[in-house]
Amino acid sequence: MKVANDAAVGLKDFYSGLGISLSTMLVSPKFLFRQEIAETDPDHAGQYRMDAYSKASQLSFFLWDSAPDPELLAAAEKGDLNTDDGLKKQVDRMVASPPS
Amino acid sequence: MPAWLITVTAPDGFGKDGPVTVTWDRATGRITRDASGAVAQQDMTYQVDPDPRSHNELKGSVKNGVVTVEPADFRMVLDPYLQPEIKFQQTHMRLTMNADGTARGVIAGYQPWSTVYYGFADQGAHQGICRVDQFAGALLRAEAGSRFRSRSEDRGKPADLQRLYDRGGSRLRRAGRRQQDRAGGRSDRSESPVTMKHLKKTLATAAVRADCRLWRRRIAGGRRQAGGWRRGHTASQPAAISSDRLRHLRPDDQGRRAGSSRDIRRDGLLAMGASQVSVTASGLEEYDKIARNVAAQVVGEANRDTLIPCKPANTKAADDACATQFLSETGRMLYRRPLTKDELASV
Repeated sequence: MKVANDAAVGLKDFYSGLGISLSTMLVSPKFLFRQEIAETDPDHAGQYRMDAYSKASQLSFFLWDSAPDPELLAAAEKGDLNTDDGLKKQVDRMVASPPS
Repeated sequence: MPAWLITVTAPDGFGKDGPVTVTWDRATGRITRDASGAVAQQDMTYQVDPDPRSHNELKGSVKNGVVTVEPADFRMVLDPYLQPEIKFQQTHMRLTMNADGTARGVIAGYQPWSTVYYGFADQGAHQGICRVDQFAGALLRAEAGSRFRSRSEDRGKPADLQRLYDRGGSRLRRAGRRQQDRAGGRSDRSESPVTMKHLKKTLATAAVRADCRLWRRRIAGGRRQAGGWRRGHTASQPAAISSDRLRHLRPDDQGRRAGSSRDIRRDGLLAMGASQVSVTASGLEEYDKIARNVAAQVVGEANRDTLIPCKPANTKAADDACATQFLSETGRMLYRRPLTKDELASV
């Protein structure tokens, strides 16, 4: 909020402030690169696994050549991608319906 | 274009005359210049492009501080949009070493015409800086006196060029006549206007004739790919560029002209965690231009009502609630994960 708010106050324009904030996000490595984040694996003590959002990105860029859609992100948020059933369901959906 | 790196090694030192080895390499980054843009900065560090096509080792000698080399082949990959490569035969080079550590010199050689021709045919015509038919004619005249005519590498090329010129030229001339007939003007073969449609046909002929696969792909793919935005995205390319989800955030014409630099790949693969996988300074500059352009479009009056899910209480002041809503929703799609509290607070 800091960039957006400071710029909005300085420029006396809410939308210009938002634009500056958006452009900083668009050059952020977090946007330009695909970061893979690990978390501890509850099924295997002492080991790590890829977190659900990283998994969603991997699936999406592999199967769709595109960023995850809202449904896939929602599945990641709910933890579905960490279960075999949830993962299968998403992969089936993605294979059956490429993004428009 | 990336910097060229020249290394001169003299086993006996530069103090006296003797043998030297001169290597020429291509860097992965552009040359660094001072603020005026005219003078190359001294004592800079560059990374050598591992592509072996741009590595040259020339044997030579130094005499009175002047380095010359024995005639040899020389190759340097250039910009595929302008001229694909320098490929000299019988390269000559003279480099004068100065006391202050600088050097000044010249390198020259004989080059097959094809790479020169394609650069001009494509870019030159598009930019309106050359006439393809006239340029082909000039090459033909040069070719007629070329000492490389009988060399195996160029054997058959003059005939191919003649055919290309005949075909392309007659097409252009016909087009010109048709246009002038329609306009009621006098037919003048040498002044026939080149239209894009006919130019494309001519270029396609040129590509097939020379069996130059790279250029054929580019021509066949048309201009839609200019700037390399949509197609050909690979695992090593930033997600942003390949993301169809963000289709509505693509830059307009002005932003597209900013272009996007090609990302570094090694052996066709993404090297995980390696320093090679990075955005160059000039690349980031281009991304920045594009990002500003896209952001300006999103918040512009034409699009803000559809792309921003809320309205601020006062458009002339900051609005925490609306900014939070927009940035958290958009950030989630851009970063492919929810923003952390700190991230949201700082953007």
